[in-house]
Amino acid sequence: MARREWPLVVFTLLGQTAVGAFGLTAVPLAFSGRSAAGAAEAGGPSLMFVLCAGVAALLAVAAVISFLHLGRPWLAFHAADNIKRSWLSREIFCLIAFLFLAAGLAAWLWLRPESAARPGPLRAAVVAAGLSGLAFLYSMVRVYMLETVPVWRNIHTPASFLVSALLLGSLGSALVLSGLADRTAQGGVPSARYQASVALIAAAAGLAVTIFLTPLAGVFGARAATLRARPGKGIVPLIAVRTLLLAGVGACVLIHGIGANPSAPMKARLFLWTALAGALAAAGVGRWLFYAVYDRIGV
Amino acid sequence: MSRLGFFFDASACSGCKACQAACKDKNGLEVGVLWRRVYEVQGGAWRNEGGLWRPDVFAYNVSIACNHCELPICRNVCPTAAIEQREDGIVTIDRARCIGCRYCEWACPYGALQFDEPANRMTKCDFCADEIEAGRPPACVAACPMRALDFGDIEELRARHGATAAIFPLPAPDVTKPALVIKPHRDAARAEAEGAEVANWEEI
Repeated sequence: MARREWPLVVFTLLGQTAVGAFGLTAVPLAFSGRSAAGAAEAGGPSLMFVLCAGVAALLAVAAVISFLHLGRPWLAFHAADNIKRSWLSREIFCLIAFLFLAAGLAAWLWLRPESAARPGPLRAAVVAAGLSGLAFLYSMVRVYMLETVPVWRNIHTPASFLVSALLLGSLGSALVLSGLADRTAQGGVPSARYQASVALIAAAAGLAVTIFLTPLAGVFGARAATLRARPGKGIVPLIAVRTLLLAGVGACVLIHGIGANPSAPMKARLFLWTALAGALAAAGVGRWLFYAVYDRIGV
Repeated sequence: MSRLGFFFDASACSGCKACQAACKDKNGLEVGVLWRRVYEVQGGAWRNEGGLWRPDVFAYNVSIACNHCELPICRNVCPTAAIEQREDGIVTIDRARCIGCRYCEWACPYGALQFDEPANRMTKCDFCADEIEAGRPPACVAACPMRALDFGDIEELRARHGATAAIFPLPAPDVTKPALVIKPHRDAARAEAEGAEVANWEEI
């Protein structure tokens, strides 16, 4: 993988974390009937506010990091000019929409915390933001499904992006929830067991995707057919590392659960941090591999 | 309006790279940027015939620039709409609009999009549109001593030379429909079948 792709590794992982965290936590929270408790009642910010602000911050950081990948970032405002044809333009458009909706929701809940007591408008806004997040994830997948790049145009791309969103999103939002549960009126919403279950399923799915679907460096183009220029040399050891990391994450979640033992919240948080660190490392290795095996047809 | 295309005669090309050099010279291209490239294809091995080992090898050259495709994938993926196609088929890039994301470089199966490192933006063959408008051929065509390169209305080229638009190591033409006609080298089919290789990646 060319060194210039590392901003894309970070951008895609942060974006997928934001989509996963919002979809898995903010949307259920909005429909749980318990999201009405705001700052005034709880003596602190509502969970919904924290989630929306966190997601907006993640997306903003992702957007800034993506600029590092551009040759001329000062022209980045042109990046959504070709929505008619380009999935990359659509991805940027959806990112901006998701970012503004999440930031707008956070600002709304911060300035008028009592408005969270009106579930109708809040739910509508959360659903709109969630849909824009889904569209962002979908367009991100389509960006890489190029007809001329068979190594990306297969089930591995959507599967690995979805696994990253579920795994990082569930662990990231669980960490936020566990950190704020004792400072808000909505502790345990959504439940820690729900987050743990999603993380466990995502880790298992990640293992399956890694073992069965990771494309080995394919020979599609003439350059790859020349042995000395074959891309993705030595990727099997990295697949093994990613497999071990995902197994560790799964074991971490399975053995302890996420906040499953309310009598030992510190221990739960330690496991949670360990699981998140492992998941980030596994996702980083997986994404690095993804770019490393790039090879197009032709020359 | 007629659409322009290139003709390349692989059976005539000697691999002198005059086309590549003329293009580079005419357009003042940076080191490492080649709008036209000559790929050296080679294959074969020793063959044992009745106990006697004979060399059974082949080699030919493929000169390729942007093929100004009918379905230009570079235009379709460019997020800034910097890449456009004129009525005469020439695919152009607005360098002032390019953000240097290099997405078109990932997508083009002909390697036509070339990144200019000092300027941090993509560049590509513009068919020497200024020369054509002045009634002259593109620099690569004008420079070829073997007359292996030609240009013109793509339908006329197809009528004259046939509809072949692919030769190893180029991709099948159905993805982007290149405005390109090729007269294959006699060993082109063998190169495809036997898995020949491009021998000069370091030059390209």
